Formats: sequence, structure tokens, C-alpha cells
Amino acid sequence: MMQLVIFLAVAVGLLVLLLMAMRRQPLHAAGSAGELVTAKRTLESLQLGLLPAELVDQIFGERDLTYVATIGSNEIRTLFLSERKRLALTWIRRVRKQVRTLKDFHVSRSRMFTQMSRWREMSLALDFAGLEARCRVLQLLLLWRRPYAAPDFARRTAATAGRVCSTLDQSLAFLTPSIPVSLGSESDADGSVV
Amino acid sequence: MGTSLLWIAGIALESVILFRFLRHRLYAHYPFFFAYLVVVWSLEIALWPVYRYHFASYSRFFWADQFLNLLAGFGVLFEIVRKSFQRYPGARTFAITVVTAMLAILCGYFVFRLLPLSVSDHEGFSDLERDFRTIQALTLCGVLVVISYYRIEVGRNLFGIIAGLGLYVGSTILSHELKSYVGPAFNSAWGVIQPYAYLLSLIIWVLTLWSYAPAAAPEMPPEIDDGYEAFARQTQHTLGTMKAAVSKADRP
Repeated sequence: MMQLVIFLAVAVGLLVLLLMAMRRQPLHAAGSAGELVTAKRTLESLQLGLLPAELVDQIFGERDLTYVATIGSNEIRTLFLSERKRLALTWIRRVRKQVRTLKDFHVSRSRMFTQMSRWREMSLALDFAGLEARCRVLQLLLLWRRPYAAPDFARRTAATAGRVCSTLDQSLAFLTPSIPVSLGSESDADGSVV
Repeated sequence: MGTSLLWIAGIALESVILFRFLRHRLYAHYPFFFAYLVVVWSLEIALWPVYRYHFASYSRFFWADQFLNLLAGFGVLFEIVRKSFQRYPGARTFAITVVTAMLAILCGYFVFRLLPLSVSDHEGFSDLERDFRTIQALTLCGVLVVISYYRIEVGRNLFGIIAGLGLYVGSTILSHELKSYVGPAFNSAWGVIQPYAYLLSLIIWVLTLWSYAPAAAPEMPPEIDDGYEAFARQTQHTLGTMKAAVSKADRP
């Protein structure tokens, strides 16, 4: 029976991978100045709009819930919790999107390097997969439990969110050594360089 | 009658593909796949009279045919890796590691299993074919994972080769394993799954290899140089920080 399961898993896995490869859109090389500037601007908007510690604290902290509880209406409390859950899920989705953006940036360039280190690349691939899985698990936790199920969630995330963003910023700055930061702010909305 | 029709349809489709290969000089682009098809086509034509007029000795030839088919299939895998990652040196390094590891496993398995085996031992050879196909499937899975991870455009021709081979290899493993698990009751299904899956693969190859359609050349990022180490270190550092952030959130 075990043998049957293993061989069936290999065969079905191959067919599933074929379907996945068929659906996957190829990635073009992310190296043009316009694309890098757009990526940098996206990161900046995240840094300033989505990930500030105060905002994360506001979403995941129990301060608002405490205030709503003082009103004493169960209906309002339920409505508030459902809205807050939706907001928290949106936040996680955006974080996942950032991980994917970073991955796309990395693979679109690393696949071109002649002296690529396969072990480092393997470790990075596992890290990307791990982070994606962790984000998924968090998403599920938020989906099935209240947004305040993990009390320290907000505080810890807020403390690290700034660091994550600044590191991402450094990484993109490294990717664009020839593009001054000031140029990014002088670009058009579509990312074209002025 | 049904078997004869399937046989003739198979030979006809293979002939069409070979004709298109010769007409459009596709053999210059995909020599291993061309060799694979020539091997399969010649063996099918040679085996047809044996099947028709000397069925008793057919099974012995059948397994020899399957073995040659398997070996030629590994040539196609080599071609897939060679062509898919031609313009992506980084991804190619990764894929070659996967294929080399699989070939090493295959060689080890060959020494371990094939040498003491008699060619007339059909059951043993059937298991051997399934195991070899599994190694092919795992290699193909590895290549597909690398293609998907690096989101590489392989072009219509190569994608057709991959899809056709994958479908055939996958269905062969499925039917082999179900046959050995279910027993003689599966014989009628076995007689349908394998030839029809192969016919479907041939149709995929006819459609996708009708003319030469390579992948578009990738745009080369302007600042690509050999600074991989620094680039990868930066990504790893960024990823580590993000991972720490999510881990902390994960553990209240």
C-alpha cells in the first residue's frame, strides 16, 4: 500500500507540476531603471503607509477593542471584530505580496548570474518557501481565530516591521547603484524616469 | 483490431512529426528528441510483423523496445535541460545539479538491479521499467520546479516536448503501479491507459512541434555582472529579517 501511495504521488505530482508550469506566466528580467525605480517607490509607499509601527499597533493592538467594549453593545463589538479581522487579513496579504516581489526581483536576476552558488540559491529558495508558508499559516490563524488571538503579535511585528522595510530598502538600493534615490522621487507615476 | 488501429495511428502520428522535423530542420534544434522519435518509430515498424505473425516472442521484444525507449527518453531530458536554460546560466547551474544527481541515482540503480536480471523475466522488467520511469518523472519534476521557480519561458516547442513526455511518463507509472496492485482485473484498463496516453502525447507533439517556435530571448538587465555573492547575501539578509518578523508574529 505504501509503495502504491509513493508511486501514485510521483505520477500525480508530475502531472500537477505540468499543469502549474502551463499556467505560470514567465518572468521578464527586472533590471530596467524604470522597473527598479517603480519597485523602490512601491517600497517607500509601504514603508510610510502600510508598515509603520503605529499602524500595525493600531490594527493588532487591543486598544480599539477595549474602547468598543465600553459601549456595551454586542452587535457593534461583533461588527468591529469582523471588520478588524478583514483588515488584519489584508495586512498579511500585503506582506505576502512583498515577499513575492522580493523573490521575483531576486530570481529574475540570479538566473542570469554565471557564478551562481547553488547552495546559497537552494537555501534562499527554501527561505522564500518557508516565509511564504509562514505567511499562509498566519493568514489561516487570522481567518479561523479572532484578530487578537495572539496578543503579542502586533507589538513584535511593529518592532520588526520597520527593520524589515529598511533592509528591503537597502537591498533595492544595492540593486540600483546607478540610480540616485532622488531620481526615484522625480519619476512619473508609471515608473518612467524623468 | 483496436490494438492494430492504435498501432497504425501511433506510427502515422510519429511519421507526421518526423516529416515536420525534416521539412523544417527541427532536428538541428532538438537532435535528442529527433533521435528519440527515430528510435521509437523504427522499433514500432520493426515490431509490427512480430506482433502480427509471431505473437509468442513479441513480449520479449516488447521489453527490449521499452528499455531502448527509456534510454532515449533520458536523452530527451538532457535536451530539455540544455535548451530550457540555454540563456539562463544561473538557473542552468541549478538544473544541471538536479539532473546529475538523478543520473547518478539511475546508474547506481542500474548496477544494483539490472545486471542480475534476465531479459525474459517480464515481471521483473515491468517493475524495472516503472522504477526507471519514476526516476525520469522525478528528474522531470526537478526540472519543472526549477523552470517554475525561475519563471523561465521555454517556448512552444520545448513546452510541448515536456508536456508530452510528462504525460506519457506519469500515466505509465500510474498504470504500472495500479496494475501490480489491482492485479489481472486491471488488465483491460492497462490496455487503454497506456496506448491512449501515448497517443495523446503524440498529438501534443504534433501540435507543438509543427514548426520552429523557440522561447523569446530574455531581456538582459543592464547591470548584470558577476556580483552574485553580494546580491545573494543582500537578499538572504532581507529574507532573514522578514522571516524573523513573521516568526515573532507566529509565536505569541
